[in-house]
Amino acid sequence: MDFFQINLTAVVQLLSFIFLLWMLNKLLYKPFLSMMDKRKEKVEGDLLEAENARKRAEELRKEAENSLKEARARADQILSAANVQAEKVVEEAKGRAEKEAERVLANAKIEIERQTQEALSQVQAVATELAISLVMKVLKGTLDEKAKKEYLINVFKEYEKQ
Amino acid sequence: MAEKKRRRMSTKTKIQLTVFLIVYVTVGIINVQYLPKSPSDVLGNVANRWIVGNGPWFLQINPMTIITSLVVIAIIVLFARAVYKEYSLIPNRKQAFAESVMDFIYDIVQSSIPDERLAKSTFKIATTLFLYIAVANLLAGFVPGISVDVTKTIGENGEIIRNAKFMLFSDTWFAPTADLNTNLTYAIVVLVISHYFGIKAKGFKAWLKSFIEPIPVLLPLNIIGELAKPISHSMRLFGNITGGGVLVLALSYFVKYMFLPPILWGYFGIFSGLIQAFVFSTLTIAYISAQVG
Repeated sequence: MDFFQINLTAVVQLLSFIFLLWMLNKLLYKPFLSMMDKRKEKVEGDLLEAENARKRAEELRKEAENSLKEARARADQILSAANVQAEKVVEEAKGRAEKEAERVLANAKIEIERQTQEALSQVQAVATELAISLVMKVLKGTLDEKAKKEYLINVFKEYEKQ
Repeated sequence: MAEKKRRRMSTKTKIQLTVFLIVYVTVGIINVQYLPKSPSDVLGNVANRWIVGNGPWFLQINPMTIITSLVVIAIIVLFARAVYKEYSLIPNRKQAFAESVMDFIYDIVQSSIPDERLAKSTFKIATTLFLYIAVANLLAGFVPGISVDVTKTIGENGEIIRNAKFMLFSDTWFAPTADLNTNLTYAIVVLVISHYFGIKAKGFKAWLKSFIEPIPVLLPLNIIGELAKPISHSMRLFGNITGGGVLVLALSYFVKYMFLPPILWGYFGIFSGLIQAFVFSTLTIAYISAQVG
C-alpha cells in the first residue's frame, strides 16, 4: 500500500517543520508575545491613569461643590446683612421722618399759638377800644376825662389779673 | 468614503484578474486532452503515490509531499514576513488576522497549561501545526495547482514501476497531510515534546511514576496508551484528508454534470480541512497538558 509507506519523506518533513517553527518563532510568535505583554502593560497603565483621572475629577468636583457652597453661604450672609442694613436704613429714615414730622408739628403748634396770641392781643386791643368807646358813650357826661381813664385802666387791670 | 474606495476594484486588479482567468481557461482547455477515459482510470489510481527510488525506506521519497510542503511553508513565511515588517501596537488587517488566529490558540493553551513558559512553547508548536495543516488543507481543498497522476505497473522482476504524469492546474494541490509521512512525524514530535515537557514540569521521578499509576499492574496498558496517541493523532488527519479527496473524486463522477462537486470540494477543502487542522492542534495541546498537569 502506497498510503502507509514511511520513508525518507518523514525526515524531510521533520526538518521542514523545525524550519517553519524557527521562522514563525522569529517572525510571528516573538513579536506577538512581546506585543501582548506590551498591550497588557499599556492597558493596565491606561486603566490606572483613567482611575487617577477619575479620582482627580472627583476631587475637583468636590472642590467646586465646596466653593459653590461657600459662595452660596457668603451670598446668603451678604443678603441677610443687606436686609438688616436696609431695615436699619428704613428704620432710620422712618425715625428721621417722624422726628421731622414732630418738629414740623411742634413748629406749627408754636406758630398757631403765636398767631392765636397775636390774634387774641389784637382782638383784646380792638375789644378794649370798642369797650372804651362804648363805655365812653355810656358814661358821657358822668365823669370827667381823667377820671374815666383811670377807672377804665383799673377795670382792665383787674380783668387782666383774672 | 475610504471604505467605499477600497472596495472598488482598481484597474490593476481588473487586468490581473482578466489575465489570470485567460491563463486559467487556456490551461483548462489544454488539460482536457489528459482527461481520464473512465472513472475507473482515476479511481484505480487514487491509492497510488508518486514514490521515487527503490529499495530500503531511506532511499525512497515522496516528491509531491515535499513540493507542496515547500509551497505551504513559503506561503506561511511570506505572510509572516509581511506581518512582521509592519508589526505595531495598532494592528493593520494582516496583523489583526494573524493575531486573531494566534490569540485563539493562545487562549486554549493558557486555559489548559498553567506554567507560562511551557504554555508559550506549547503555543508555538500548536500554532505552527495549525497554520501548516490549515494552509496545506486549503491548498489541497480548492486551489488548483501541481498534481500528479500515477499509474502502477508490475515489472518483469516483480518490481513496481510507477509512471507519473505531471499536471498543472488540472487538480488541486496534493495535500501533504494526506501522506502519512507528514502526519506521523508531527504526531511523534508532539508525543516526544509532551513527555519532555512532562519531565520538565514534574521531574523525572514523578514522570516515571505516572506510568505505574494508579496501580503498577497497569504499566503495559499505560505504555500502549501512550504509543496509541501518535497513531490515532496522525491517522485521524490522514484519514480525513485522504478520504475527503477520494470521496470528492468518486462523487464527482457520479454527478458529473451537476454543480454538486464544487460544493463537496468546499466542504472537504475548507470546512473539513480547517476543522482537522484545529483538531490536530487542540489534541497537541491536550496531550501536552495531560503530561504537564
